[in-house]
Amino acid sequence: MLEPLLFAMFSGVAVGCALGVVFHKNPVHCALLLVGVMLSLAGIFILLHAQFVAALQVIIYAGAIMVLFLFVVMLLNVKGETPLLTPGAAKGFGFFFALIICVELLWTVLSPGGQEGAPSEAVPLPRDFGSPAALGRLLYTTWLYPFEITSILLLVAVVGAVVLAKRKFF
Amino acid sequence: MNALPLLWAVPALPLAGAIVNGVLAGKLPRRLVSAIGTGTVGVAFLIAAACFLELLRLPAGERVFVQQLYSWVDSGDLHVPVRFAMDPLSAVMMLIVTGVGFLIHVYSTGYMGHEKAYGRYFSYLNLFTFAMLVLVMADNFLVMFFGWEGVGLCSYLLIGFWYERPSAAAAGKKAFIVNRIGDFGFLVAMFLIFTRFGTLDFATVFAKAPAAFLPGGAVVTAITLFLFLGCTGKSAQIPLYIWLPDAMQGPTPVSALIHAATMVTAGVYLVARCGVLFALSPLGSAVVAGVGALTALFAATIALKQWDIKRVLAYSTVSQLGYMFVGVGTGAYAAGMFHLVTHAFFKALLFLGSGSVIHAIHHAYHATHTHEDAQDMRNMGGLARYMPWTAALMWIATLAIAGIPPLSGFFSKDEILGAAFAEGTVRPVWYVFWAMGIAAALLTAFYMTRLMLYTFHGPNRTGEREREHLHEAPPVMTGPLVVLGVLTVMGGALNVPDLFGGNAFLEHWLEPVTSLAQRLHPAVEVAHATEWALVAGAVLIAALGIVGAFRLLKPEALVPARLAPPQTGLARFLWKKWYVDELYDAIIVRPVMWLSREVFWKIVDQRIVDGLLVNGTAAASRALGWLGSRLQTGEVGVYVVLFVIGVLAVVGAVVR
Amino acid sequence: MGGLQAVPLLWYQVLAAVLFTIGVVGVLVRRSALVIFMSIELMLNAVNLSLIAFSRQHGNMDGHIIVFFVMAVAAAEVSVGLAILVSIFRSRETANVDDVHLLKG
Repeated sequence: MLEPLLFAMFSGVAVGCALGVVFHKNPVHCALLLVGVMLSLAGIFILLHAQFVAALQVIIYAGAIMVLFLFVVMLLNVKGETPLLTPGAAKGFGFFFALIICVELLWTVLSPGGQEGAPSEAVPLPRDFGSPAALGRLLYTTWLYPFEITSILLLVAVVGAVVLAKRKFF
Repeated sequence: MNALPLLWAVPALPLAGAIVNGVLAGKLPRRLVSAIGTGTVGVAFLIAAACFLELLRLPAGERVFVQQLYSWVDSGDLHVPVRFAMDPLSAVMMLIVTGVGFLIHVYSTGYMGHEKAYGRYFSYLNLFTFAMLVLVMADNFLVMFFGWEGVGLCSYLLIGFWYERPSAAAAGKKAFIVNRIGDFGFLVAMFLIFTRFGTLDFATVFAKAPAAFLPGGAVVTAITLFLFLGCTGKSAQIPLYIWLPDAMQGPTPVSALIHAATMVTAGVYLVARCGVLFALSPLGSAVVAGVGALTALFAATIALKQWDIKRVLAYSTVSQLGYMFVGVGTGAYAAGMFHLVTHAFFKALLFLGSGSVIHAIHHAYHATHTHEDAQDMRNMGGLARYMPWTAALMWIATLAIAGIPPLSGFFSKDEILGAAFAEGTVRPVWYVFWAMGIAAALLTAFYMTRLMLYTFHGPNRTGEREREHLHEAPPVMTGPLVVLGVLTVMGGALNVPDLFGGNAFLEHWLEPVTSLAQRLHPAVEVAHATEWALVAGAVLIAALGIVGAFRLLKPEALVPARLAPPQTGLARFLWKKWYVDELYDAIIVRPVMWLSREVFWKIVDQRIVDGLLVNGTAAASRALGWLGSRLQTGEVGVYVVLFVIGVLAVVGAVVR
Repeated sequence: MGGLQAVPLLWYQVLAAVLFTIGVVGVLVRRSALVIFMSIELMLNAVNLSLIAFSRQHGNMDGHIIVFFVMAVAAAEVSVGLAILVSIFRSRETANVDDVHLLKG
C-alpha cells in the first residue's frame, strides 16, 4: 500500500542521486546530490521506525557534514577535472571490483546462509522503539564506554583539523 | 707411604711445566727454564717409579690402580670419564716415557744450549710428555685418543720447530696430515666398538669381547684392521711411514724422544692393550704381523743406502717397529713390549749419540764458516779419535740392535723371531714373516755397522781446518748417553726367558693384562732344541752382517758430500727410498690438489657458495624488495584498489 | 503503521548493497579527491541503512546506537580529511589524486 510506494520513491531518488554523485563533473553538483541521497535515506529510516536516527541524519549528516563539504568545495574553487574518470585500465578494474563487491554483498544477504539467525517477519516492536528516550537509555548504560571514547575522538579531530588547516606552523 | 694416589701428578707435572715455560718463555733465565723443563719430568719419573713399587707390593691379580679425575662426556649413552689406570702394561710405558724422557730432557739442555727459542722448545717437549702419558695411562679409548692426537700435535710442533726453514715446516705438515689418515682408522674403530658395546671403557670392552664377537668374525676383524690403520700412521709402518724420515728435520733430541722411544711406540702399545680384540681376529693379527715384517725388511733395504746419519736411524726405527708389530701380532705381547723397551734404550742412545756427532761437526763448520751438511756421513769419518765416549757407547747400541748377546737387543729380538717361527708351525704364513725378520736382521747388522764405520772409523773427511775444532760432547750430553748405555747392556735382564734359565720377569709382570688374550690365542710351544737352533741362527746372521760390512765397505773410498758423484742403478733406487714418496705424490697428492683447486675451489666455493648462495640470496632479496616497491606507487588510486581487494578477501572469508 | 510485510526487509539490504557499490565505484573511478571523499560518505550511509534495517528486523535498538556512533565518527573523519585536503590543495593547486604521488616508493 503506502509502504511499498514510499519505499520505491525514496529508494529511486536515493539511487538516482547516488549515481549523480559519482558521475557528475561539477563537485558542487555532486555535493548537493549527496544531500539528496541523505534526505531520501532519512525518509527510509522513518519507514523503518528509526525516527530519532532520521532526525539525526538530517541534522548532522545533511546539515553539518555536507555543509562543511560545500564550504571546502567553494573555498578551494575546485573545477571539475578532465577527464572525468581515471583513464585506462584502472577504470576497468574499478568497475570490475565494484561489481564483485556488489555480488558478494548480495550473496551474503540473499543466500540461505545469510538468512540464518534472522527472526521471521514482524517481531513485535516495543512501544518506544526508535524514540530518543530509548536510545538515550541504551546510550548511557550499555554503550557508555564507547560514548565517552567517541567524545574524546571528536576532541582529537577538532584539534587535528585546526592544526592541519593553519597556514603556518607556529 | 702409598704413592698411588699421586698418579694424577705424573701427567700433570709436565703439563704445568709446558704451560709455565710456554707462557713465560722469554722472561725467565735459561737455567730456570731448564730446571722447570727437566725437573717436572724427573719428578714425574720418581712418582711413577714409586707407584710401580707400590704395584709390585700388591699380589699379581690385583695390580690395577684406577684414579678418576672428572667426568668428561656425559651425553646420552656415552659416558667417558677422565680416568687414569696404572696396570702392569701402562706402568712399563710410564716408566719408559718419564725415564728416557728425563734423560733426553737433560741432554737437550746441552744440545739446544745456543738455541734462541729455548723456552718454546722445552714447553713443547713437556707438552709432548704430558700427552704421551695421557695416552698410556688412559682407561678408555677416548681419553687415549686425546693423548694420541696430542702427541701428533706435539710431533708437528717439534718437527717444525725451526719453522723458518721451509723443509722443516713441510715435514711437520706431512707428519700431521699422514697421522690424520691413521687417526681416521682409530676413530672408525672407536665408533664400531661403541656401537657394539655401548661403552669405550677398556675393562668393560675387553671383558665382554670374547662373548660379543665371533672369533674371526667380520666386525672384530674390521675393528682390528681400523685400529691397525691408526697404528701404521702413528708407528710409521707401511703405508703411512713416509713422515718419519722427513721428521728428522726436527732437533735430534726430538727424534730420539718422539721418533724412537715414545710416540712411535704408541701403536705397539695400542695393539698390546687391545690384545683381546686381536686375538679374536686371526686375520687382523696376521695383517699386523705381516705388515710389520714387510716394513722391517723394506725399511732395512732403504737404510742401506742413506747418507744422512739421522735418516739411517730413522729407517732403522721404522724397521725395528716392524719387529715389534711382528711380536704383538703373533700374540707374543710380552716379546713385543720387551723389544719396545730395549729399543727405547738403544735407539735413544743412537740418536743422542748422533746428535753429539752432529753437534760437533756443526760446531766445527761454524768455527770455519763453511756451510756443509753436518749430518751427511760422507763429511764424517774417524771421529772415534775425537769422540771416544760417544763412539764406544754407540758401538754398544749397534751391537744391541744387531742382536749380539748378551746385550738387551739380542733377548728381545730373539724372542720375537722365536715366537714367529713357533706360530709358523701352526699357520705357515708365519714362516714367511720369520724369514723376512731374519733377512731384516742381517741387513740391520750390516747398515748399522756401515753407519759406525763411515762415522767413527777410517780417515776423517770433515776438512783440514775443521778437524781441530772437533771434540767430545759436554758431560750434560754424554751423561745421559752413559745411563742409556748401561740400560742397553743390562736391559736384557728384564725378560730372560727360561730357555736360558731366566725368570722372564716382564712376561709374568704383564700377565694380568695379556692373560685373556693368551687364553684366546695360546702361544705355540716348540721344542727346546728348535729354540736353541733359532737362537744360534740369529746370532750367526748378526755376526755375518757385521763382518760382511767390515769386509765389503771401504770408508777410505768415500769423498766429502759436495764432491760425491751421484748414485746410479740399484743404489739410486734404494737411496731414493724405492720412489715411494714420488709414487704417493703422483697418485694421491696431485689428484687431491687438482680436485681441491679445480672442483672445490673454483666450482663449489666460488660458483656455488659465493655466487649462488651468498650473492644469490642477496640478489633474491633485492628482487623481492624491488617487487615490493612496485606496490608503492604513491598514487592514491592504486592504494584504494588494494584496499578494495583486501575488503573483498575479508568479506569472502567471512561469507564462507 | 502496520507491519512491514508489505516491504520485505531484504529489499532494504539490497538497496544498501547497491548504494554501497555505487560508492565503491566512485572511490575507484573518480579522480577528484573531493568526489572520492563524498563517495566514501555515500558508502557510510549505505551501511547505516543496512544497520537500521537489521535493527528493525531484530526488534532491538543496538543498530541505532551503532549508527549514532558512525555518524559521530564520520563527522570527525570528514573534518580532519577535509583539513588535509585543504592543505594539499594550498600547496599544489590541484585536487586530482593522480597528481599527488610524492610518496612513490
